[in-house]
Amino acid sequence: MPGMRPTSLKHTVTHPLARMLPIQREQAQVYRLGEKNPPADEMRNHAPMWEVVNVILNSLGSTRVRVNVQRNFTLMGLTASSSVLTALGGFRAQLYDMKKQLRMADRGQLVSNLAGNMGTTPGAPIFLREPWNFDEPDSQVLVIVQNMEKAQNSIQLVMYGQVLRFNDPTPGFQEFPGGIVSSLGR
Amino acid sequence: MSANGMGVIYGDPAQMPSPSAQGADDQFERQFFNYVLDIAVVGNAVQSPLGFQVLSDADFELWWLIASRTSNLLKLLWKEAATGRDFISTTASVVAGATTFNGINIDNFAGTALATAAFPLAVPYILPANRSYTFLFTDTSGATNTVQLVLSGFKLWPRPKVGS
Repeated sequence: MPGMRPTSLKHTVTHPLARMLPIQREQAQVYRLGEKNPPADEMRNHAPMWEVVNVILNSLGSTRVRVNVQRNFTLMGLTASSSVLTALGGFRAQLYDMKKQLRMADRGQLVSNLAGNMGTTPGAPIFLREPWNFDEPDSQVLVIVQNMEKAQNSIQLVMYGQVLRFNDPTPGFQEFPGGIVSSLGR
Repeated sequence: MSANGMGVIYGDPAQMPSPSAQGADDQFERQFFNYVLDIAVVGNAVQSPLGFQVLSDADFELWWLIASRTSNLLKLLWKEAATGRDFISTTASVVAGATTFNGINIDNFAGTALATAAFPLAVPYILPANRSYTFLFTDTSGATNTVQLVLSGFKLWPRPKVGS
């Protein structure tokens, strides 16, 4: 039908970095970027960040960890490692955006299905096809971790992303919990 | 033109990307360059430092992190001197059994090119000329851990303007 737009994305929130990720081999091939300038576009003045969650769990133990992410943290990838990883599965983990009250999986994912690391051959992190922005003030990530092994397990889950510089001078950027970041913005 | 070669139709002119967002030249020539850092971390060393400074001739645009190590029982932290930024941190709440935070497991940070395990920064980061950085390595293998860390990217050379 002329003029019909059955798949309009007009009201779809699209992250500015989404178009930087490739269509194929999305897990590993994220290097052909820079189709625009600057590459980071609205996220210039951000810097890479690795938010690390370390837990040591006893046999079949579980725990919850709250991570206070930095300003405008944008989750782009995950890596994970487990000191014990047998056929039992290593560990399960589930992420939850506390501020937006959104869970990122309906139940815990086994580490082998959640994220990889670069120590195996071949090894790779997992990249989100569209980055997830923790843009609410005082955002928190709740990480629920369950050890699947019958032995003590040293677990590390890493959230790779971008954060706004804490001393960013751009006028108008709000410092949590609501102040201006720098004097230039006053 | 979108990344997959398919055209994009903008119903609302206000939604059209700016010229810079459509791929305008940023006036830099990019020279492929690697900063190569070698260190032999003594067994059981705690936060053994390795510093490096970006060369003064050009800013460096970091795209890939590549690393090899003897043992994977190695953690690292990465700090930027001028800003005090910690690229690797934890703000996790109190966790049973957790000890002093010594950083990210190296295998969660970068791997070798041979294993197609280099870590791509999804957004490149510019390391300004002359700026100093420090890596802090913590070994738990008990033996000397030989590490090579490669920061791979481009030197940014400003392109002379035609007619100037």
